[in-house]
Amino acid sequence: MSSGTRRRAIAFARRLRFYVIAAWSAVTLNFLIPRLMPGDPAQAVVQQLEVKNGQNLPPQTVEAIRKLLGGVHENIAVQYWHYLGNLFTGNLGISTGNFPTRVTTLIGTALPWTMLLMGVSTVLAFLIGTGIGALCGWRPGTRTDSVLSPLSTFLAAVPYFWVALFALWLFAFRLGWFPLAGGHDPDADPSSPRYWLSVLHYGLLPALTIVFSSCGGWLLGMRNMTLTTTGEDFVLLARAKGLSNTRVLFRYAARNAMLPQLTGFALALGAIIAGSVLTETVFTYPGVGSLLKQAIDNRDYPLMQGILLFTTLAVLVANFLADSVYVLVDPRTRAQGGDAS
Amino acid sequence: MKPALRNPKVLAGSAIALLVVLAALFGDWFSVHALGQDPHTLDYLVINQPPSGHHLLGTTGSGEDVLAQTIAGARGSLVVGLVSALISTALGILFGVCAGFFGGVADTVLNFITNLFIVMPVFALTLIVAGYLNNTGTMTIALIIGVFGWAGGARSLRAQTMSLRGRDHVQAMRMLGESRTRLVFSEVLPRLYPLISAMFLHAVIGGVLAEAGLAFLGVSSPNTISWGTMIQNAQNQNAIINGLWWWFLPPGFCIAALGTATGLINFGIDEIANPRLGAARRAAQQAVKAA
Amino acid sequence: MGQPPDRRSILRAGGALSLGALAPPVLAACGGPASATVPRSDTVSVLNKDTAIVRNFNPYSPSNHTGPMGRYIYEPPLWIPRLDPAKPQPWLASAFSWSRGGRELTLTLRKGVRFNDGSPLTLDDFVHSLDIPLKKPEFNTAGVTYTDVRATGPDTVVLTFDKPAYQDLYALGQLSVVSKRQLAGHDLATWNNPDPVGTGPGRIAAFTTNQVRIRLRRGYWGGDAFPTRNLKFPSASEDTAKLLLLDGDLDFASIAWPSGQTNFVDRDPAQNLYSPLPSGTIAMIAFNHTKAPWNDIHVRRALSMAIDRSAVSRTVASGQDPANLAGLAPEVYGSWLLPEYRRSQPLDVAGARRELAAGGWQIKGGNLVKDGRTHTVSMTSIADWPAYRIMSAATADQLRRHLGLNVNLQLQVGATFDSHYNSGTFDIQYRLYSSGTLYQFYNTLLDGQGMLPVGKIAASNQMRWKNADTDRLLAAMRVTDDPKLIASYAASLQKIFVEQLPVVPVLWECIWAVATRRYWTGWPTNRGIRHYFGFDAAAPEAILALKGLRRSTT
Repeated sequence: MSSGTRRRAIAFARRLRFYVIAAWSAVTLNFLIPRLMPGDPAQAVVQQLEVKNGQNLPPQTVEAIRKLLGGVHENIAVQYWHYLGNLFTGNLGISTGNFPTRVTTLIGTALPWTMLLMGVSTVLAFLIGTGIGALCGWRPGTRTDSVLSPLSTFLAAVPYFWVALFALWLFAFRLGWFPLAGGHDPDADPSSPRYWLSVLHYGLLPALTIVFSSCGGWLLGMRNMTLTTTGEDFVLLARAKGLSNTRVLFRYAARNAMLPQLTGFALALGAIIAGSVLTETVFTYPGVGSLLKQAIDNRDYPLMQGILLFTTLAVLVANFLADSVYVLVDPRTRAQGGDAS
Repeated sequence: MKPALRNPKVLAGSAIALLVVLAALFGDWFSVHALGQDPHTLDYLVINQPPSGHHLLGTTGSGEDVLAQTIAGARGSLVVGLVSALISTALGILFGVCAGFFGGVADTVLNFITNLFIVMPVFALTLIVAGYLNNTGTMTIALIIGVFGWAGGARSLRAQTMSLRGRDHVQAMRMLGESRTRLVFSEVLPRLYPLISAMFLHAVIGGVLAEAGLAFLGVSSPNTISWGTMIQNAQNQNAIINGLWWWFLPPGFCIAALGTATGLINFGIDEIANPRLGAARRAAQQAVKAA
Repeated sequence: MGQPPDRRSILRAGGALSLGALAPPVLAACGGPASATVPRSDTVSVLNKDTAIVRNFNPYSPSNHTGPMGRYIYEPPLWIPRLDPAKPQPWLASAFSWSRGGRELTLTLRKGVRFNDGSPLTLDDFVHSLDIPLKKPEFNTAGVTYTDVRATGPDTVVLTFDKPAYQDLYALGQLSVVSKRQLAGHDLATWNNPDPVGTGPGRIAAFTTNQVRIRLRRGYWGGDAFPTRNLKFPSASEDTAKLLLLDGDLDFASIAWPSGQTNFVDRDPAQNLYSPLPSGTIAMIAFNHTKAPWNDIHVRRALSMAIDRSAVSRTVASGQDPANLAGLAPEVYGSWLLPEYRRSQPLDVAGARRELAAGGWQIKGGNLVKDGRTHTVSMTSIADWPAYRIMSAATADQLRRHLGLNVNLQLQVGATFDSHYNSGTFDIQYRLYSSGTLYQFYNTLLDGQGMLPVGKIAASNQMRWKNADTDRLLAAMRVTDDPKLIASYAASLQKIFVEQLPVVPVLWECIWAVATRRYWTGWPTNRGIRHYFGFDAAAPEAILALKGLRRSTT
């Protein structure tokens, strides 16, 4: 008993070590990637202003912008040191594209929207896809399975934004069921119930498109895992014992088939920020995805770094949680002491 | 090969994939000589035309022939898909098989890198790097997609390799003094073939989709016709609002068709290569019939 | 054992789940877009093209994400009409006059102006506003060129310039006049100024991530004759904005609409307006004059003659008409434009071939060949704008059709595209160009003084055009405000431009106006209106445009 606890503690410590090193590597990569790339934020801002005004800027203005956003000329090690120091104090710098707004302010405003929209729709897609997938895998070859499995293959391969654009046109424009753009009724008072209803109303179409597009992947994964598991001895044994089908499905087959799905779910939850770019671009949703798109257009290093950092940390946390759950649920990982380190 | 082709799923999938490959190889020639349309020609006299005898799939907002563009897009998209899949599969094999087979320090290091890439926000990174290196061309886009997209495959290959290494006959051959490199090629890789080919096919459509997404966000190669850039152009010129369905639908449908094809082939290969899956399936079907 | 019912009940549960997901929109739709405090019909709704807006009203921010809202908050000393930049108008400065041969400018502060927080605009505020770009050059985002500011009377300020600066008034139309009291104690490099104080008629009434509402106050110095006190600026991408316009959620947007006549106006001709108006900007082919074959006038002429501009215009189909020979839009530069240059270059394939022959050029295998040396034609254009993809492709298509030139067209992202232009590391570029007054138009494009070598980042004359006559004329133009002299210099510069073709003008670029008359009429979309045209322009024009609106009677 005590040796089991110890082994578990060791496994946990190993995982923790991995996550700390991974976090550091990710933080460092976040620092390096923008700096290794060509491009100049001042030039990007000038160019965007010119496109916007349809007019070339006077040379004096261009010079002032270069002075303002021209950036740092310290050596890279000093920059790195400052960057790490700032991370610990929660200072992510000032966005060059939204000068002089703080990156933390920008992300702080956008993050709840993304978490809400993407979080809810990812969970929904996972539940629906996995549920139907278990049924299809449990009884392969039935009509449901023979329609749904190829359909999911097709759905998983349809470009998401293509579906989303079409849905926007059909449901929001032609049928008028949903609003065309935004995250909430812009005229509603944020403390009123009407505002919260509007948040639901505005988020629904984007959420449905995500569920529609990503459901298929969960379905296929679960179907195949269930199919494999149903062939395993312990399931056959359970069946032979004459246990009811539902009981075998949920207590034995599905439960074991769920494990890889959970890992995928953790990854998907962590990836929601990155995945939100397409959704939020199509639906003009005020989240982190829109912000990331804007940061890229503006060559806004500080903002890009900030978003990447949040995104990476989200994935790490989600994975850490999934790993921990895994250890608790699956006896085999427990015995092996984990392979993540 | 024979059992594979007898499988109807593999057959259907291969037929679609073959069509796309043919379009990629001979599409230009076909468009110019059989259709009489050059995908690059703009013609202001036939802007926004619905499908007709002359333009079988109609024309775009700048008078390009949609069918010729769709055929040309096959090459653009497929090249990105194939190249990125080659890169990610090669990296996946390198990291996964080596880590799984050699174990020890090599495993620790390689597996750490793999896990690192798994937890990195891949699409965001791809988007950022592609955004910086914009307009460097299709190959760079493919390279970026490939370099950021190998880790998941490496993880499963590692697990499979570890289980193969543990099998009795491999252990026995190792004791007999067979070199480890030879063992990888003679005993391990051949058995991983179904998994690798499934990974590869999955990566192809992943690459095509990623390119389309990047194109929609305006960071793909704007100088190559691909299905992704076609959708982007259609969107930029309000194809949906203006009811130009013949411009907006074909490229997306082609991507979905290619994806379905690879999915079907994968299904088939799975059933053939994984007898347990087949057996399970049969057993389950029997159970259904019995009930 | 009853498995089938089991399965069905599970499926039903799944169905209920998805139905449950569908239910809220119906409910929400019932809750509906009811009672906003201000009715839609009493609000002017103008597009804000930024999809991620930030409560940032720092007047020195170079951010392009500040939206058009600021036009109703901050005002400049002078109004430089976009369509008549040579005739600056008084604004917060009620008068201005030159002295010392264009080295001193005296501004008279308008009396009775109050900020939107109720406090009066004092001379101290005015001097402070003019002084900030001097004290902190990094905040010179307006681009001022004076070197000293001083108050010389109870309501006069004198600006001093190093050299004659008749042509430098443009910046005074960009500068924001601010409240010294409000700015005090704030670091302009970190402060967002969320509740801006300005002399304009507006105040921020509500700010959300999707929309900004402006409420116009009473007691604005320019009078209270506005058709409504309520403005809103919903944000949306250009694609979505088109849907919003069709839905009536937006009244006005400055966006291009390909085939706008058929796709927008014809849907409801009584209400919908689409009116592109040449803005003085040209879409042109720019040459790298340090490189063969582009430094050869015969090649440039041949290229110009081999483009059927109306075909290019009809391919883009958004309303950009062919540019004239001088590249000077009559709407903006009409008073200077020589009558003989009002026409466009027609397609003249034979003439183009003659020019090539005269220069000793042949076309072989799609390339330009002279003296056994082969030059490929590499044209770059900007990838960020769909219209430019089409325009440049159509232009390349013309050169291929008429001359058999195999143009290698590459689209580049704006920042890359511009940095190649600025450093002179390009062959030919299809790009847009404009610059305020007539002098600025030529000066930024062609001034050879202080021309930077290839590889250095230039802010003007990026094509490295070197022509002694051009430099002499520009130098003379700089130091005079005599309209007759300016007209004669302008004529000579036009002659050089048309005969030497430093660039090949192809189409006019436009100020876009898409509007609906559902709630408001009198939109600045008619070509007859000289002085103002939109809401994305400078504050005076946005204010005048709003004043020109009337409630729709239909």
